[in-house]
Amino acid sequence: MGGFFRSRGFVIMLAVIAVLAILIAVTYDRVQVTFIEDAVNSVLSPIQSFSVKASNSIIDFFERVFSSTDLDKENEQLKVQLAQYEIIENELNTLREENERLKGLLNYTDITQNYTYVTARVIGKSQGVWFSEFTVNAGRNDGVMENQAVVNSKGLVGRVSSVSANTCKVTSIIDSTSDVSVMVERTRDYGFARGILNVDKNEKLELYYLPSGYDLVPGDNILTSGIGGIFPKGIAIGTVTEVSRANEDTEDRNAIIEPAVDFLRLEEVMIVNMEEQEEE
Amino acid sequence: MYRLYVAASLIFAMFMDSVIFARFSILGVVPDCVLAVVVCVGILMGATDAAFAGCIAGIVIDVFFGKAVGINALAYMTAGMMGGIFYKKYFADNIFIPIATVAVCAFLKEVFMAIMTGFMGGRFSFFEMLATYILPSALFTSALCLPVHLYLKPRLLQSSKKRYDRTAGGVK
Repeated sequence: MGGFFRSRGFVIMLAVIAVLAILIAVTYDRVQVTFIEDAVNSVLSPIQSFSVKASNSIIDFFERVFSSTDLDKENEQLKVQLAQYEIIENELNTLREENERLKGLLNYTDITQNYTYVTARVIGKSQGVWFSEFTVNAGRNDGVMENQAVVNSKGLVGRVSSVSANTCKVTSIIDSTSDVSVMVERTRDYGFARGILNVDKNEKLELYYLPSGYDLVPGDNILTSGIGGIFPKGIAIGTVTEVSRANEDTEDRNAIIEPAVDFLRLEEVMIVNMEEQEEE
Repeated sequence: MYRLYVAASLIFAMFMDSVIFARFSILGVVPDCVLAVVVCVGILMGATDAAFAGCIAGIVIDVFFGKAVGINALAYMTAGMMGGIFYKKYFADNIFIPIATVAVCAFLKEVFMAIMTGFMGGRFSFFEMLATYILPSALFTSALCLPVHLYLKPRLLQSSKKRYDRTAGGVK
């Protein structure tokens, strides 16, 4: 035991720890990835993409099986032919749901026609609860750039935090380190929304810095304000579920927002390219 | 051969963490499969192998899913080293030491993640997270250690014995 702590291996490990600590400091909050990260992403993203797609199909299948009645289960076990039809039906349902989601995305682009979009599939999510980031299968080769807004048919998902050749990382709006400039749709009051770090799967956001004497009621819609230039104006953030009376000068939150997007079942997203339209 | 087992176990653990436990949790608490594997490797194969495996797995996770490169690598590498403390120091049938070591490592890793989140601007109540996530997650991960350890132990020890026999044969 003592031998190990005096060994060359231990010294090397301490050196590696020091290097990793420096790496954390250097790579935190940067947007440009190194070519090594690019290479790792390029190699792993097709495998990850395939495994996520396959796993989601299996999980969806089992969810459907377990949510059906006992009689249905009995029938499935007894009738092989019916089971085969059911598998086909499940595939059809999956395709139908995907079709509806993609249709939703198309409707969404009708609403905000001023921008161009890159559609991408979620291929991985960060572990644990500390950070809410995910990886999507669109990158620099698809025209994705850092700090572009990411949306789906329901509303704002987050922003692109780093880009590699074929994938990019998205920091979601429910991440506790993420701030979004927002406005209340009804009163046009401006504020900031930030993710709440909690363990239950009912992801929530906090609303801060509304002007004093703000008028807010549960059910109010919260939209992006467009201030800051990252997020287009008017994208849905969520709905106010709880209002608290806080002073303007304090750090207390003004309200809790339930996000419009279901982050637990996020599969496809669109990355908004605002610059391309502006250049035209 | 044991490297293949370790690599396959880590890949499977990464898949479980990023795909399966991204959708399923118990009251929002998820275990850390990679940590369970790394610590078990440390207990069975020693600190150097486990630290190396943890470092590589952590870097892959950081590059692909992480907020900054190095956070998970540092956490898993240190966990591997801690697991290595008990290398050849306990009876092979004793399952309590691996479970307790994984629980302690998982607890320390989550505390480290909380500190990093705080440094990066995340605002949360540490004690609330300690009660609702850090402790339950450490327990969950330690429970997961049981199947991981039972799976890895015969395979790694057998490979290790073969390697030892080959080395001894070479010396003769």
